[in-house]
Amino acid sequence: MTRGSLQLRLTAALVVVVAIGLAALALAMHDAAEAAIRGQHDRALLGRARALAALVEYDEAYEFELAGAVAAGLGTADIYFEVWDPDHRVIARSPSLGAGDLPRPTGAYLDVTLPDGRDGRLVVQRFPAFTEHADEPPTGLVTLVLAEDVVARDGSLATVRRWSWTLGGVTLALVALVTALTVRRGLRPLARLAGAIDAIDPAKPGARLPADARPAELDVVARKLDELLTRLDASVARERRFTADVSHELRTPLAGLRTLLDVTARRERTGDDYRAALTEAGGIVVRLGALVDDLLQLARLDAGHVPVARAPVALRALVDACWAPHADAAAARGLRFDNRVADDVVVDTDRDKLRVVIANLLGNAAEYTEDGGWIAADASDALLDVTDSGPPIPPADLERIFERLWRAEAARTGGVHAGIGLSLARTLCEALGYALTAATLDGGAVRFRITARGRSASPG
Amino acid sequence: MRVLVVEDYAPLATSLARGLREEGYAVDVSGDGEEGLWFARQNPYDVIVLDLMLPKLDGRELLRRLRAEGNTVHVLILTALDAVADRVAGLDLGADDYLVKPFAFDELLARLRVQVRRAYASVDTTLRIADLEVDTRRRTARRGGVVIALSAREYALLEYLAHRAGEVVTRTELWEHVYDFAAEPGSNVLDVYVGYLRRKLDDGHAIKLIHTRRGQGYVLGEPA
Repeated sequence: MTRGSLQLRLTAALVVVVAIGLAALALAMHDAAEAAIRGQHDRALLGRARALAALVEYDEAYEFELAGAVAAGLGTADIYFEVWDPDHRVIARSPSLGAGDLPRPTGAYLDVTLPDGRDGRLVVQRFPAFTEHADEPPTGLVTLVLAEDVVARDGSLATVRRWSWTLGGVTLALVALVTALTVRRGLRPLARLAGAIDAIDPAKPGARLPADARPAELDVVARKLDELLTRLDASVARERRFTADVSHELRTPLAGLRTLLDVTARRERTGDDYRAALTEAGGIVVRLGALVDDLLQLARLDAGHVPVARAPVALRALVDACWAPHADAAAARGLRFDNRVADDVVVDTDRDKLRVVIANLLGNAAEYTEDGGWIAADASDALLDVTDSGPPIPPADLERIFERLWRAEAARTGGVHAGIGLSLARTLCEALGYALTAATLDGGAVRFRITARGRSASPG
Repeated sequence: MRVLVVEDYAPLATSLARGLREEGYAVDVSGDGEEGLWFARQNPYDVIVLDLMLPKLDGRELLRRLRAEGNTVHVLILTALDAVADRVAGLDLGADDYLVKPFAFDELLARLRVQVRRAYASVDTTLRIADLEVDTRRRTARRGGVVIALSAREYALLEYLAHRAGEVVTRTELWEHVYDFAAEPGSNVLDVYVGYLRRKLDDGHAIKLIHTRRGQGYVLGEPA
């Protein structure tokens, strides 16, 4: 299951972070600019109010020099002002105000709606009136209110806002684009790695990922993949070898069978000839069948489909039963068999599986022991020992004989090959909780030993 | 024609030997590589049928040693190893043919005939000497269009002589190529069979084809 695109997620995360940062920056800059613009505007307003205040004079009565205001450019239609004496009587009001009044807030500044309907800003000045001639200056404060439209100021504010957002937006878009490209570029080795993996042909062993210019993070993954490939190669090679060996193991008797049948059928023969040929063919088929059974049993054991059903088993009788099929052939080769298992030895085990194990061990001994030798079964030192008089197995081969269809180098050891029996015996032992080991004893005898796991085989 | 079968699977070796003998081949059988090599060194086989996985000495090693000694005997590898790499390796070691088990006995016979033809440098499956025709495929002989009934042993003698028509074939050569170790011993067996063959071939024909060179051997062909 895929969980989104790494590229998309990285890009989105980076863009969101940058967007938040940019927005914060834009807001801060905008706020600072707005505060500066508003402050500047208010100071300008205050300056004009002070200029107007200078026109208020007390000389027995409050006076306001309107002509001076007009002369100073403060009497235009855009500017509204009104002046009150301490007793709240209007001293003067701007011509633009007509008969109306301006509000007199308690604070210094106020946002208002001008009489002409536009947004405006209002400043209040409370001051003692300028007096030059009066002997007795008034004690109260004159109140002057000046209001002005804020069109120009709001225009500046809007410009600042527009620029803030535009610049922020453009920067964000650029950042998103660059981030997406960088991330894609950064992830390109991943795509290359995927391509290299795609290009590996499962049928051809030995394929490895190219080692060129991998970033460190990917190098770990690629190396792990290479290790996996190596392990897979080894396992595939093992499987192939096993398949080839199985095919050899089946082909050879099949070739014997076919040639026997071909040759027999080539001409008219006596009844005895046919009988002999059929008996021989039957023998080959039985051995082929046994081999197929062994292979099947191994496959089932590999798949873990074989349940173990334990019951008490009399070991001596089982050993005798397993030897019976080999007795005649062994006797013909001068082999002596000695079943030294005591009558009262009872093992709690899966009878069918243990029988296959013992049958394989005895069959192996019967086949490979030198003519005139001996074979013995004994249960005194381990669960069971099957010992034969040799020839000895070279130490290097003691483990390998348990490999499936392993063959000793023909030229070196006289072509001993393990077939499937010992491998099956060991696998079955493992399923039963036993260990099966082989040892060459002093004097060249070969001993196969079954031990219950956990108990170690005593040496010698 | 004398064939050595080196095969360790006894049922196969036995059937092969029997089938080949019934076809008139002289057959020796060996069950391991060392003995096989010794046989191959001792006798001038026309073809060796060689298994690869052999006890004591691997078939490939046997072949390598034979070739290293300059032995050019024709070798047909008969093995269960069917991988392309195995075939290539076998042929590259100097094998002349490669047959994978299991095989049809008829195919083995056909391939053996190919090897025998190559051994005597003929491409035609029918050998012709004057009005005598030896059909190596059917293992029959005709003279003047009339089929001559021959026993397997007589045919084997005739085929070897026909392959070397016009040459003096020594009694030793005949013995070595037509008889195997299992053959009945006796110094005059060969002369008796040549006598049988001569009677069947030349009786009633003005031109005699089988000639005795005293002290040398036999020649099959028109009189010089």
